[in-house]
Amino acid sequence: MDSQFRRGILDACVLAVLERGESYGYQLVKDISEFIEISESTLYPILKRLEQTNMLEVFSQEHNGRLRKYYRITPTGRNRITELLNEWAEIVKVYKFIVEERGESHE
Amino acid sequence: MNKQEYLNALRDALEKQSISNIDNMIEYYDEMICDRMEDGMSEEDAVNSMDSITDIVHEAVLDKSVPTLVKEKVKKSRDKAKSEGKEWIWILLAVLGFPVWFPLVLTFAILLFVFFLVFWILVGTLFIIVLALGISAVACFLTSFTVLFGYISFPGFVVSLGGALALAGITILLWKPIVAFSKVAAGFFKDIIISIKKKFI
Repeated sequence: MDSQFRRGILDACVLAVLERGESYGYQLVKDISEFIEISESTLYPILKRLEQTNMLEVFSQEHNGRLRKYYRITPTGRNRITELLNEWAEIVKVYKFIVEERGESHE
Repeated sequence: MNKQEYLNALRDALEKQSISNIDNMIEYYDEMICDRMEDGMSEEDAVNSMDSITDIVHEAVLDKSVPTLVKEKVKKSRDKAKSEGKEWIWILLAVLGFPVWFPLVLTFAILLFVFFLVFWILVGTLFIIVLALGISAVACFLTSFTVLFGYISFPGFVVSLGGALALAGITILLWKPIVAFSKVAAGFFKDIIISIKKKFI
């Protein structure tokens, strides 16, 4: 998969998981891995980028005697999901068009 | 390898590449290992299931800016030459080659800058055109109302209102393609920057 394309998808996945509720790094990797391959080294720059662009906020909370970082989606992040979904709707349209065109040309 | 050994090795590797915010990264990977252990893995299994240090460093290097990467690449070659006692070659080449390399570097930098500038001015101009059409539509719409006060005749009213609707239509029609074009352009530049970065890794 094209790296730019994959990155866009992963951004959307992280935001979508966070829309369900705040989460932490390991849980995010587990949740997203159910749909698409992701490792912690891929997740780190994504979290950093989403934080820098104000799409999520980070806070630390005590857990079993240690501090764990949690991530929470912001209104900007929610808007981004809507934007991405609209973009996807367009991509799906193009996908259907290509599939139909190929179907016709093969007949 | 236990957790501490893994984190120390990671820190060393990141420091060698002069990555910024190393403490934050170590904290992140430390947390990842702790969470795996809480999930039932032994310390060794947790460390083994982590990404390789090479992969982590590669991702972190890709995150650096282009000037930083270029500077580091040059420094590395210089240091290598220095350790081999051949630094004089660098100095000699830099001095003798100055009339050749300087205009080339300057031309390349200016070309790149102009290319970026022209492209973004084009995108900016397109937005200004759409904005101008939108404002004209509003102005025509408001003008058409002056028929109520007798400032314009009825045919004038029809022309103004028609003009307003036509301009509004064109504005709406152009808006989406221009936004889409800007997004594609931004993605294109990101790709160029990433491919330039890869040349220096």
